[in-house]
Amino acid sequence: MTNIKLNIETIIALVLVVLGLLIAIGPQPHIGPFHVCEHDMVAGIKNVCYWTARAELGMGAAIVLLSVLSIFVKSKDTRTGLGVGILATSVLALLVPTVLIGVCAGAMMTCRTTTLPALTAIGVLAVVFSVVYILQSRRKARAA
Amino acid sequence: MNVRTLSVRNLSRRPFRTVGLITVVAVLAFSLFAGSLLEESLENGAENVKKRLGADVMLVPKGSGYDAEAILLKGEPNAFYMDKTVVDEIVKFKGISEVTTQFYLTTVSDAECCDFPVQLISFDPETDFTVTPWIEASNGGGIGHGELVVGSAISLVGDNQVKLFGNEFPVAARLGKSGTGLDTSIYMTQETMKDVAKLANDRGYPSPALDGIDSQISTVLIKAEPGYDTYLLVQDIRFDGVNVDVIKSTNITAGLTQQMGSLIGYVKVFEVMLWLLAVVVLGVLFSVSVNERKKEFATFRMMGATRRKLSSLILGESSLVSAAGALLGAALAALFVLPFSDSIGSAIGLPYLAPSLSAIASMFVLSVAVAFAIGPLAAIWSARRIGRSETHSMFTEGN
Repeated sequence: MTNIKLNIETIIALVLVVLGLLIAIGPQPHIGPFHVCEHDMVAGIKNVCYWTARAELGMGAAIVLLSVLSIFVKSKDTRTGLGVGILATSVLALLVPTVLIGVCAGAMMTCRTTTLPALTAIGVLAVVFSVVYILQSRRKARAA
Repeated sequence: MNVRTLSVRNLSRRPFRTVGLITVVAVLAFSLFAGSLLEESLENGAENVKKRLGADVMLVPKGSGYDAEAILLKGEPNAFYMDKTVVDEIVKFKGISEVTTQFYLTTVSDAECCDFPVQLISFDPETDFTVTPWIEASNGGGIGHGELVVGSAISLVGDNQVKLFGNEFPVAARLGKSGTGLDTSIYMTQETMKDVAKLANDRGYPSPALDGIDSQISTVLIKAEPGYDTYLLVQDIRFDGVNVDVIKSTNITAGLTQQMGSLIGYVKVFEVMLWLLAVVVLGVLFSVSVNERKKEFATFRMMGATRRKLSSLILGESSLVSAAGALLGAALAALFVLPFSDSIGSAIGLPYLAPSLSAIASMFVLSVAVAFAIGPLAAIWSARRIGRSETHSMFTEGN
């Protein structure tokens, strides 16, 4: 562990913390800025999008945790490893609403018109930023 | 070391300036691509309203014209009724090729099929010319008693079914996406509509139309004879004093085009201003940068670089910045605008239909090309200036 230095990796890690928070909190019913449907289509049975939101909570929390760790870790190789972890989690965060679990079928339902596009866009950004983070930390590891 | 390698090194040596320049071009590329998508989607939507309506003239009860347009344009469900005998008054007019009628009912917002109220429409498959042309997928047979034809935005449950007022109805066909309010409609025969109205009544949603379902209709849809002026037909109906509101499909399209015109106009003015602003900002930044680097350029000259090479270096840097910014901005616009097209459509409150993939791809390429042109354009003056300067004066004037 070391003191925080504001370099390009730290800036990317901070961006990933924000993206992870959005993935975790964004789809949560009642509180998220792009929350999933708030009622059950069939009484007592949760909608598909509810489970997507639950899975995204875990995925987003993991991205936040790994990104915060990567800010404090000194070893370049460990940073690369953390970057790979963030990338894998970001890919999962992207696949959960699109392929693995999905959202409700109704074309005009909020989870399809708002939550799905928001999670897709944020997921793609998280993947891109984590790839840049890995490349940057590899470059520094090679230069060291 | 070639010009490209030198340009990349120069740009990476000043990351904040480079990021700033890329951001300016990216903002422009974003607005160009997002603006083009918005414009094309609105035009597609307006075009489809007329096609989706399928009729040249639509008649609704007197005073219900606005509600009927709201169903078509915004998908706001409504129900209004008039006596079926109005059809007998209409068919006598000249220039009519086909006539069909429809009967409207609405669901409530907590209907099991959807989290929004849905327009229920009964139609006559024998005379219909407005619904069947939009069938995209069907089970192969006709639309039988108890079966539904659903708009593209209606969600299905279980084995291709829709739940209405506690009962599941099989879906016989699904309509293609039109971008109009009718995408959230459910169609059925009149017999099925009677069943649905009874179910609604039993569930505590009394339908005022239940008693008059055999003697009333909501709308008469008219197709004019080919070549016949629909204006004359509309005039005939109005002068004859038939107690209806007359909606002409071309008037709806014209009204939409007028509404869209100002919105698209603002977007275009904004894009042109942003483009000019970007050229000026980049031009000033390149000029300042060239002034700061005069000593560096003079050193290159003393090392044997030609004037042409110095100009190429400046143009190369500006091209790299422009290319990165243009691609980044257009990619971000694709990432944030395309997936949100349904939300944007409902926020604007106008028919909105995203263009085809090939049209999107060509808009992407065009936006990137226009945004890319900024860099070299803005740097031409600086490149010419450095190409004409004397080495000695560059060296003495430089920092």
